[in-house]
Amino acid sequence: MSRATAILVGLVGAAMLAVLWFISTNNSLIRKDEAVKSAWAQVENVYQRRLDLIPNLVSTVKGYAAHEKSTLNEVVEARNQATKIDLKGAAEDPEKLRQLQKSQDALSGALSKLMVVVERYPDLKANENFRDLQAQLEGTENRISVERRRFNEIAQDYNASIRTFPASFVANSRGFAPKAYFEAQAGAATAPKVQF
Amino acid sequence: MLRAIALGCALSFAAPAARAQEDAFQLPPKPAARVNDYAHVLSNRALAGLEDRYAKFAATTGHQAFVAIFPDIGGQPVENVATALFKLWGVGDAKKHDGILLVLGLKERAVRIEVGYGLEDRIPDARASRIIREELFPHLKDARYAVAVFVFVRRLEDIFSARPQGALPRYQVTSSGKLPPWAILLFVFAVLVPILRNLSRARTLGSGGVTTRSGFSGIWFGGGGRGFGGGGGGLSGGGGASGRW
Repeated sequence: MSRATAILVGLVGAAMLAVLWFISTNNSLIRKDEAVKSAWAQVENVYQRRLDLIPNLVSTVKGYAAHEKSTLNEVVEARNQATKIDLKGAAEDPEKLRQLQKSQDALSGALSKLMVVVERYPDLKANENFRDLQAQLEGTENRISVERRRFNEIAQDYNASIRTFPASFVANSRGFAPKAYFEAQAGAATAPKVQF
Repeated sequence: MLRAIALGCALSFAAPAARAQEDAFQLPPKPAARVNDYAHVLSNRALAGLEDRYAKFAATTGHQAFVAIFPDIGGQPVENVATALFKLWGVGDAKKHDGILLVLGLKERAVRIEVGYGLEDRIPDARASRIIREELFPHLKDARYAVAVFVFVRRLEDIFSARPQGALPRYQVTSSGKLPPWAILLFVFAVLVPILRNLSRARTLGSGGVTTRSGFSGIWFGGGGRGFGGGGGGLSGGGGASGRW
């Protein structure tokens, strides 16, 4: 084999390796992007779950605590606002995500206010239907914080991958956009430590 | 190598800070048992009986139920602890996410039933909450922890109609009585093959102390049913209910 052919074989080999690397990096970024998308779908799910729960809750509370009209209206109003926000694409757009978070946090605030108010109504609190609704609401609030945290973790992992060299080269040429994060809620940041 | 050096540096710098937080609550690693009493409030007999019952539940329904009793959970929300523990232990099947975890924090008087993604329709939050309020609270208030843990598994058996009374599935009966020939064969293979392999390796290496562990794990994987020795990689999304007694 002459020297020229040896060089040629070397170059072709290197080019093939580079193409293989590009494809495999691209595939791994796609997988991570999909993971972010499914985490986002979970976030949408749990937010929707809460929106679905509220009408039932409001009508049950109304039956026992009709005096608390303003608190109830606040919940209904906050729910209406939260329903208006379009969730599509919020995972990529920090501004949109901030809006979403603002409206959902306002709803959380209105709901927790309502839950404090109902403490004054022993009949309502003893009502089995209300207790079930309360458990569902608590469960949903908890799910929201879990899924938000998971989304942040997965989005962080994805963002780190598209920003680190050399994968950043693939990410730029294939148009992988960075994801937005939820801002940490008070108390949500304290994840329990693992003992080794 | 570089990584090890970097880690060493990071550790030596981080050590004082880490020690300051050491007294905070930490999640225990994946256990080998289903019923885990870190507070030492259950008698050995109760623990063995409960473990047996939880194992039977898993054998009849295919769903894993785990219990963790802590003396305290460092004042953290029991919801955070339960979700993190569920994930760390991988309660339930990795594809079906059909595990259930009961967490008790005695000092905080906090209880949580954490339900895997796959069982949220069978045990909705309201149902979990009722179990806590109506069936666990009375026993927890009187510090009858063993009873509470037992009542919980009985309730699960009801939900999945898997009460081990009367006609047991055949593979369960054999576990307490005579073993069928194929099980003995399987056991012999699962036990002897790893041990023999370890022995021969130990002879060439000159020390057998380290290798016996993998021999034991060989036993579990060969002889045990599904999901033995910790969870199967299941995940929960914060479903379930909690309360304070």
